[in-house]
Amino acid sequence: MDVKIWTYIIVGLSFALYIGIAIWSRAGSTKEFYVAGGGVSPLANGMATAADWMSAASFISMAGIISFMGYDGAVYLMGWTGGYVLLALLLAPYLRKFGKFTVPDFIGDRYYSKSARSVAVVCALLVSFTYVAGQMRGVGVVFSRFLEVDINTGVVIGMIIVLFYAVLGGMKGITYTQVAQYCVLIFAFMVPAIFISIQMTGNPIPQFGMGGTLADGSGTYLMDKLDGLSTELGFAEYTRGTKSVIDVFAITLALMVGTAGLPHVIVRFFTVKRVKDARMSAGLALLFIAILYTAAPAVSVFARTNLIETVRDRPYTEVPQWFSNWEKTGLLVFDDKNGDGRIQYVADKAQNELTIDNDIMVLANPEIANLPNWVIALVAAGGLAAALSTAAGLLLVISSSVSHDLIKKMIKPDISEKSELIAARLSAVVAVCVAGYFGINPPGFVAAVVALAFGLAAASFFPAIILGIFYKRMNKEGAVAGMVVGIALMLYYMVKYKMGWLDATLPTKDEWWFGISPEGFGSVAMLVNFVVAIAVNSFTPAPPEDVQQIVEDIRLPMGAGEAVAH
Amino acid sequence: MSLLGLHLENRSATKVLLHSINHYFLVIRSDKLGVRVSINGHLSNFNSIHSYFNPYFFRSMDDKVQKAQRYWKENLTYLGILLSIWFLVSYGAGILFADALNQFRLGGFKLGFWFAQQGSIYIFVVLIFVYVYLMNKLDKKYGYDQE
Repeated sequence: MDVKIWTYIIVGLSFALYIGIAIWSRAGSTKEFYVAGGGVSPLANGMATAADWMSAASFISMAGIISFMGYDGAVYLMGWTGGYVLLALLLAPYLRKFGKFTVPDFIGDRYYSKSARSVAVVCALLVSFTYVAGQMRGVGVVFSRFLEVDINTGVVIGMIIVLFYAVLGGMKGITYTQVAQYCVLIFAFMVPAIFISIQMTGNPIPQFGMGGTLADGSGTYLMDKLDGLSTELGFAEYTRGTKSVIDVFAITLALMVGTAGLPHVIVRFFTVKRVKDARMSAGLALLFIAILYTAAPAVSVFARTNLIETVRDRPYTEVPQWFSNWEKTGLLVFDDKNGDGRIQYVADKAQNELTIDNDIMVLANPEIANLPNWVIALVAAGGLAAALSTAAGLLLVISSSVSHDLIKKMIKPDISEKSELIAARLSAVVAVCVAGYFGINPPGFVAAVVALAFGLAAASFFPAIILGIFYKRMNKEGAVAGMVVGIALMLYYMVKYKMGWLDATLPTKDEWWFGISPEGFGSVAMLVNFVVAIAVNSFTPAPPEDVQQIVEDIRLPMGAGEAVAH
Repeated sequence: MSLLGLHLENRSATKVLLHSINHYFLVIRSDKLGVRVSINGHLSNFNSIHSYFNPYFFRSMDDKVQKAQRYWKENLTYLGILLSIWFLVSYGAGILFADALNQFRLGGFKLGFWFAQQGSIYIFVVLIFVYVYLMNKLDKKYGYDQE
């Protein structure tokens, strides 16, 4: 059977599964809609968190990006996993004990103020909307690549699917579809990775194959060979990288802390029963994420070596079939600058003749490894699962921010349970439409805003939540001042050094503060938030005693089920 | 019911902050589970008004508060140790000392590179499970484990 038929079958089956789960687990109350009723098992929550976290970018683009960045790719690998240690140790158990529905709930109650809650709602909406626009685009791209439909048609199909199970099932429906999506995506990622590892190193475990010797019997280590090939072509040694140490440090920190501050990740820990389940599910989530995140750098090394070997100085007429297949999609572009009919792939931009899109490293893997057509179809289903699960999680945060934090807590406190549930569903519909609009008409600065989402989360939520738990004396004046200054500083830096809107031309690297890139600046803004919050706190009055009692209360795991009356 | 001049409704949940003594907050709450007193978040059964005036009641509540403080201190010690390891493997071995460690090898990997792209992630996973194990044990030791 050809690839297209396989893709229709496998993607169709996976969609039928998601919709079936949504019908089976539809939400009947606001508690089910916001936090799946609070009775999700740690194992299911771990898988759901992993699927929620790993987006189309993790699944399709990350391995490719790392293969071009070499060592520097570690900022993503460590940055997007290390945040779970912070979540498990510093945030998840206490927020679960606090036992409400959203992050603004915690900020609003802990800092006993409507302004703190409003700042938190604005941040949550801003972070989630910037993030979800990229996801809807990802859905469209995957559809268009595998089913050969128009990207916009792909976005609309994705919207309908997400709309169906997010609106019907709320958090409960999303959780159980994410469990299924995790299984699909991890299987789809690992099958080609394992086959390529066997092909190149003879080792079926990609993580070990990466550090093993080549399968050709020469006894050379794969990594040494890649280092050699890279320097030969004028690139930096693969294992060294080109970013400065301070920038690598800052980006890693900003991504870790940003991860721990993202509302759609935090809210997942409200869905389990007990405090110890929150800790356990954070561990399981990272375990499930780590399977992909430790295999991805191996795929990067395999794919990079393979690609260089395939194209290096080869006559254009002798390239393998997969090369011409992907040329048609525009992901591989060959431009014979010196007209010798051979492919020159080198670091020097003036002489380089081959342009390679990041995404090809994962997408073309099955063909490079000569895997059967059903594996290619599986990769399509995996990419869709990754994009849909993340989009759904984000949409839920947006809808609960609107129906719970805005309508119930600020505009109309006497709203009935039934009307709140209707409001939650309606805001989910609106959120899907807005996200779909951005998916079809992506703002030119999408990539920049995704980095901004992490910076904003790091600069706003993380310090406010940490201080709220670990510093009993922290008051609303300090927390609000810290959040506002942190966000403002982050926005200023992004606008100036990433978008270049404040100057005639985008300022160069030399003008960066402390040599830190806009991607890494979230860590500086976070530190500033901490300093401002503690300074303002020291000359303003202590929080009321019943608030201090909340802090004492969330530190002990007993009685997590007993939510304080709203 | 009416208590100490405060009116507590049994039907809806009510929380009343009574007074604070040293750093202890005494809160009486009344909800569908009955009337209870909590000190710094530690609930105590408060079925009879006499217990409030009974000196032993305060002594036992004082023990509870101290127990909670010991629990929190032990938790903070665990956090300190585990987060130091978290920092050392990622920012230390993976970034700051990666170049120096690259002189050593682990099979085909240069050691600094391995920490940056593989090792630190494995250690992150282990750290969380160690924390889960330690905290479950600590919860049991202090009687805070939930069934």
